[in-house]
Amino acid sequence: MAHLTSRPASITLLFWCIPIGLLLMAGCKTQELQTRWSAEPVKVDGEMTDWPSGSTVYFEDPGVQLGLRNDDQNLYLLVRFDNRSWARAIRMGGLTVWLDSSGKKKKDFGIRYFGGPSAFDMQKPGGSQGGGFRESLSPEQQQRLEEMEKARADQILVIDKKADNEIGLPADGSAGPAASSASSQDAYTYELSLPLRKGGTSGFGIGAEPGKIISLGFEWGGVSREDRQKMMESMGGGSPRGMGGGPHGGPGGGMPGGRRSGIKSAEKQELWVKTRLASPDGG
Amino acid sequence: MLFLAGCASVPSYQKYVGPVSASGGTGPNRETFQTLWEDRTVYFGRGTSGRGSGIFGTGFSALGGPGASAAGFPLDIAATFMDSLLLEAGFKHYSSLLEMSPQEQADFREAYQRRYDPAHHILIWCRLRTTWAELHLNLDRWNIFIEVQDDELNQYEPVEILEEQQIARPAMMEVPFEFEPGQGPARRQVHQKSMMLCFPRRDLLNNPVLSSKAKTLKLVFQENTDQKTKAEGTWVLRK
Repeated sequence: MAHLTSRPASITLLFWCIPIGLLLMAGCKTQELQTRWSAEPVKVDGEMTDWPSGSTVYFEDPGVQLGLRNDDQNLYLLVRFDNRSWARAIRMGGLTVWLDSSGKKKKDFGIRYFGGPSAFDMQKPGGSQGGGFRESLSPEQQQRLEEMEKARADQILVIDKKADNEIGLPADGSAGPAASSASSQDAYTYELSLPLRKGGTSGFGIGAEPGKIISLGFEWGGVSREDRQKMMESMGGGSPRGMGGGPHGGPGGGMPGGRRSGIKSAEKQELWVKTRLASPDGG
Repeated sequence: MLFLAGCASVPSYQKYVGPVSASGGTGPNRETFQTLWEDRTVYFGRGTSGRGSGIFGTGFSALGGPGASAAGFPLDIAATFMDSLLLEAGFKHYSSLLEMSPQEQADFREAYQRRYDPAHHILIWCRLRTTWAELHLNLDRWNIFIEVQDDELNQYEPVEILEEQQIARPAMMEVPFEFEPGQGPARRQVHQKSMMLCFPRRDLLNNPVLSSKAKTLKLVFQENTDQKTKAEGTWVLRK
């Protein structure tokens, strides 16, 4: 007869905790990324034109291309991927960039950007006007479609947890930080410009200067309950035209008729990079 | 080869499709336009076999040249079989999105039917991409046809090809496995073209091209000057 011995609970706990802990640590590790000096200000338009070959790095996990450049005024960030559900999640819940000038991984101060392709854009099959439907619309309907495509909720939210404060800013850079996005050929590109020094009309700034080491945490997906509710409202014809408000009052895109099937929230993604802000002398 | 039925997000040169009802019929609308679109889209040609699609996954390898071999196929093709269920979902989608009145909906349908004539045509929407020279998008270079397998194998050429007027702006793509010294992955300009391929719904003897016996519908792109340069995508028709 076999004699079964029970393993002590503490050992069992340790047996599971160690690998799980290691996995969690591996998933959240900070990676180093070189910031390139930019002799000219980068135009924040969501396009790759200011990002030459070699100025970006592809991170296999989670599958995103990142680029960092700075001049003596701003830090420029580029985030690019080909995951449609991530783009949808950013549109709904935002792309958050946590900024830690101590070089650690504190989530006290950051910005959140809600731009990107609208829900309408996301519904375009294959990312383009497929199937010949658009060609069969009247000129007036085609124009309305174009206007709907342009109505994007480009807005930046500055998050200052220490001050328990969140401020919404236009994403055009008029208040300091700027953000833009573009989607092309199934690729989604997000470009941001963040003032290095605090000041300007918004007082927003990273609080770092060239040569200093900072940490940046990129976070998206993992839609919160509140955001999910907003998503449902915007998708479900909350506004008279069925193109309900996006996050934070922006003119979000919408899907008609309260149709809810096919909405899949992307899993939460988090990527931390540590970098030394570049200096004009290359230091 | 593993069939990828139902894996809408997985690019495949072969898809299960069905049921394929007669043109103009209305089927259940439980599935969204987007889901149906992806279910009916096959990806084939350059770098799409066994790989994902998109900027990082698409294998725009620079190996070979036009006509050299299968690896030298210059086009990346996404083809969507516009069956009646997808058409119906598309009409409903755009009608709802633009909050069309009943009259506007009727006009929209009529305009589509006048342009593409789905009652008499098997419609396949095609998007072609290439990182090679733009001339590879010239349709004169290609022999395009469908193969329908039922009791026998029959081939049909399109009776009409309607190119989309709005041409997507060229974009830059990184080319996996190709590096510029000290510069990281190489980037190439991507050229793109979209079009509707209209194939006959009935053959010369007035028999339906897609009869109830049809098992597969295959779309073939074959270069005129080199028949070895060929790529094909297949829809397996479920009964």
